[in-house]
Amino acid sequence: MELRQIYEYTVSGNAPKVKELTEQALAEGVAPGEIISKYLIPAMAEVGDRFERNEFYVPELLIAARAMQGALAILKPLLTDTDLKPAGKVVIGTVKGDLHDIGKNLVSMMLQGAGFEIVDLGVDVPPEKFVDAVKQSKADVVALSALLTTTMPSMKTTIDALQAAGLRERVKVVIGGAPVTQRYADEIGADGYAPDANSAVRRTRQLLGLA
Amino acid sequence: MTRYSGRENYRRAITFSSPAYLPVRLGVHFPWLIEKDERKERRIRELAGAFPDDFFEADPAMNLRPPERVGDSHRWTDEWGVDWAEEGRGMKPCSHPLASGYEALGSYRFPDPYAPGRFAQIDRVLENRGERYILGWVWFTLFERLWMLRGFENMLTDPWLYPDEFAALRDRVVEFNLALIDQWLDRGADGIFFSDDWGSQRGLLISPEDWRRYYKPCYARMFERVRQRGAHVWMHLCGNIIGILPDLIEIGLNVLNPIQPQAMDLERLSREFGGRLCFYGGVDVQGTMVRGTPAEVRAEVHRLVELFGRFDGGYIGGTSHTIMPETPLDNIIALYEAFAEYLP
Repeated sequence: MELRQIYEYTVSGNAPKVKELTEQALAEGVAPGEIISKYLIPAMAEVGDRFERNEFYVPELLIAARAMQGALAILKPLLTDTDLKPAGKVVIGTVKGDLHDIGKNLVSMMLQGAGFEIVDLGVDVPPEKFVDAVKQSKADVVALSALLTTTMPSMKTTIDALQAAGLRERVKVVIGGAPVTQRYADEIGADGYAPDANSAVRRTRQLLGLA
Repeated sequence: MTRYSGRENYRRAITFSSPAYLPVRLGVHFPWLIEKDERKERRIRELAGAFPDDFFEADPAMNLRPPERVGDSHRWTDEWGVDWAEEGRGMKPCSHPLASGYEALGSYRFPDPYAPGRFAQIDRVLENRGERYILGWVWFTLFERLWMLRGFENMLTDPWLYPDEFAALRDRVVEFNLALIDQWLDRGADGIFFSDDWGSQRGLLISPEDWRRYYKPCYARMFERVRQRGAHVWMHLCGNIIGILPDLIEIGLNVLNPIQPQAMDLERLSREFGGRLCFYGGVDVQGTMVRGTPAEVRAEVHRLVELFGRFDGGYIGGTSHTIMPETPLDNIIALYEAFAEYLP
């Protein structure tokens, strides 16, 4: 079989094909980690680039992510510790008072597509919950989303809570959402800001010294 | 100066045939605003009262369960079976009756467009319509209705993953809307107001090609029904929708709302589309209204009238969306004062 097809069908979002080819590749003895790192992750990077260039829209991104997730569901249980290490662990959520989830979900999918392990806390997440999740998961990164000017201050209270719990030095904080800017990130002491899902991945990789 | 009835004045603004005065639609929901000042609020009410009573609009939507207070919020269920909540900062759907899949259609009951009582309250108002322009709402027209039924992310991908089921559900919603349009036009509505938010701040939610393939023919059918009977097509589309604006004009759009200056370049809109459709809204609730000075608000009003109103009509005064909670009352006063300069 042509393994490159896994890449192509992921980009075009053909979930049944990706699943079938992944199973076939495993049967032929290809290592699960290799399928992820050589085909799935590059495919999602390509999807993100096309999204950033306005060639792909949200539906294409969702459909590609769905194809990737189908393959990951098969591959992840088969991974051994030495096989493929996650790029890092990210705790992600929309901050307290804010119920918007689509932007957060897209960032979460793209990070997953880039090989990160994701702990998604959902929406309207109070600072304590971020603190607990960082403690439990030993995350490397906290990603905060806010879509309203009135809920942006919850990003600062979350960063303050991480500080108060003595965790601030252990994690990088990235923020994003329609009203959020680099200036606001600087103001509240976040490590990074990203205007869209693809640059969120790039920024996160930079912060962890992976790019 | 010739004095026209509201109906005639709106018609002239929409068809570029010299309205007697600038039509203006403004609204403010005081309980929402953070700033409280009785004197300033009184001033705004006073200014609002000076605008002519030349317009009536209404939404004939019905509920399965009327709004009731639950703690700090209001909750209700609309006629499509979608649960809603309003917690003081705008309403939002919080359940999607077909989210589990199209199998759920088996036990799903579609609402009846001809349900008794749907237009009862509206008919009472229409008895005294006078010479007002009547705008009939067919709100959450298609895409929004569909995602409220299926869930947002599901609906974005349904046309590819479940093409037949998607098309059947979409066409059911269109049939419902056509029945509402007919009932409005039978009552002498001058225009129909549709709504679907196809734009984000940066661009369209789906590609223009996919929009043309999956949705445009549906809008064409609904718009045609309106235009056939001599009424105007109004549509509320949030965000940057420049990519499909030529299509909307081609199938009969007359009035575009709400025009977000942070999402679309106003100069470009005026240059490329001015005189081809009427623009309604535009004063920036995401920027100028919230962070600008009263002088900047006034300047923006003047600029909008200049950009869009210079085609023997072509502009209806208004904001780029609902006035936001953080807006200073002084800016709202400036908004009303600036538009009042164009009163008859």
